Amino acid sequence: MSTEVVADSSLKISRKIEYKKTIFGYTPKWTVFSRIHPLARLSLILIFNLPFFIVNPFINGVFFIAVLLMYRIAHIPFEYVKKFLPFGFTLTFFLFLTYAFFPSIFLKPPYKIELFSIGFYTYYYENFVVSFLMWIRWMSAIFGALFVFAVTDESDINIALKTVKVPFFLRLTIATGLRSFFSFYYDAKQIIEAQKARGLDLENMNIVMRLRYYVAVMVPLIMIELQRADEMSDAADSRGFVAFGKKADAITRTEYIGRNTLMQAGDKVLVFMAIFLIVFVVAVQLIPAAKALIGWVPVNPAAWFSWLG
Amino acid sequence: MEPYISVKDVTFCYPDGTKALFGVNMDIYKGEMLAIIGQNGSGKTTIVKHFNGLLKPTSGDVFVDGKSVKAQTAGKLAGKVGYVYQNPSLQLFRSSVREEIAFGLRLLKKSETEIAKIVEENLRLVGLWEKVDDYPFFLSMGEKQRVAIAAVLALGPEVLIVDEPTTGQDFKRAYQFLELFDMLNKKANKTIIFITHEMRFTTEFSHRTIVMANGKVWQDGETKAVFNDVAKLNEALVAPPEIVQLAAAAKSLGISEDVLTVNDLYDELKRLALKE
Repeated sequence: MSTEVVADSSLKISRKIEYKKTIFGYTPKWTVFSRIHPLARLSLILIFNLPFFIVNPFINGVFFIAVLLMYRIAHIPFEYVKKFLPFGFTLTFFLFLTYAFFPSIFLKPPYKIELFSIGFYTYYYENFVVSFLMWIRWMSAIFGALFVFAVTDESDINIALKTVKVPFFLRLTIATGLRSFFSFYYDAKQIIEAQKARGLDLENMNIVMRLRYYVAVMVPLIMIELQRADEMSDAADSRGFVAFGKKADAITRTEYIGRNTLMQAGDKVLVFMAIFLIVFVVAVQLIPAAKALIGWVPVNPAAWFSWLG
Repeated sequence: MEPYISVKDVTFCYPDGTKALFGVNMDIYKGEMLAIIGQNGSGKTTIVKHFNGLLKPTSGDVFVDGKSVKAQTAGKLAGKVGYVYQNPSLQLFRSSVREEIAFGLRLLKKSETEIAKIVEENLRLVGLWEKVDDYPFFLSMGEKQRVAIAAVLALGPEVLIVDEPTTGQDFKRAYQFLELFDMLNKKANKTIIFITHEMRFTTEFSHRTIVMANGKVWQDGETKAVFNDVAKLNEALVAPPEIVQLAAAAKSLGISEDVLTVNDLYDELKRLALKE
């Protein structure tokens, strides 16, 4: 974590700038999300997964816009989000490709509104709609989950798990795994840098060449990580770590979180709301009118505009 | 004489907001054997990573062979400025020492005849020709380090940056490394820039020393001049080697201030003894 005190141009207001190390890299700590309890923050994942129970593209579109707004509010640098764009493009490509050839449960063939034809193949409006329905729910869910991990670091996850009384050994295992993710990422970065220094510039290669030469990163990375895992296991053994029961000398182990883990009323409301919303969206589908709204599909192109009113 | 690497008023800020360099200026000339010393976090590694484009300045500029590094990729600069990491395991991944050296050359699309010639030349240079078919991971740490050096040298860089080559090595091995770089400097006419915490090696091998402190160049000059200014060195929290401290303490006995190594002190003592 880096701390620095900066002042605005008038030198009247000063703000403490702090960053936390997340899977995105260093992300700002001074935003509203850092004041929310880690468990409440993690529960946002449930809210961003609501689109999986909703078909209506307008409602899911609202979720997607909400996710993008959250990135803005949390001051997540665009260059960090950019790292996940290739994944987003790949998913988009395969979703549209899949539904260009296969039917969907939302709109069953025969499809009628023809958009274009290439030889024997015809692409229908219905192919596009079902692709879009799937795309918008996946984008909300993926970028929503990524957002949560952009404002949550390893110690936050530890606190969240402690709050729901996950046993110490399991928390330690999860925390070690998450920490390894960061060390794995930074090791990989260092190896890429080291290979660059000997002329292998993966970042400036096309995707085919990059895949071909990725072995230059993977081999050293695996060797280094195996060595690290061995050292970590030795270190845990040498400190008398046991997964179950008490340590050999029966001394209670020190809690290493060292932060207040109590949830405030607002945090509890957020967690309750996340669980309630999931249950509500599932349950409300038993009511025909609600089901019609949630499961609405723009069957013909004009429906988009009629829904907008 | 035009500098090969020219650093102009470089500042650098890491993505987490840590400011690492503040208006650094320095010129490095062809054929130099240069040591960069300073406390941990003083900016030594950060500045040298600008020389081969691994880092780009936040402000200011670095010119290598007259061209700004801003417009060049690290991959392209690898042919001009080689960088040897402290941990050779970061760079080794092929199934034989020969393949390891040949890898970079194949990227440069050299012919197989040319590759064979360069591989042999460089492995002989670092004294590993007899291990040419060995698996790199089964070599000793020192040998791995030599393979990594040969792999970088094979690309034909004018400048070789070596980041803390002596860390974790026993004295004999560390000394052998410095001798290797000295040989590369003298015989292969390579410009060597080494970062080290071993003052003894600095005084013995480098012609010029740059002391960095708090992201700035604290001292820059001939190694003798830098180490003679003990007060300034101490301000940068760098202690000169014991032999220099001893010579400084014995100044009143007629010992010259130019003593940097054990041999220098021996010569001084001999001179004094003969004088008496």
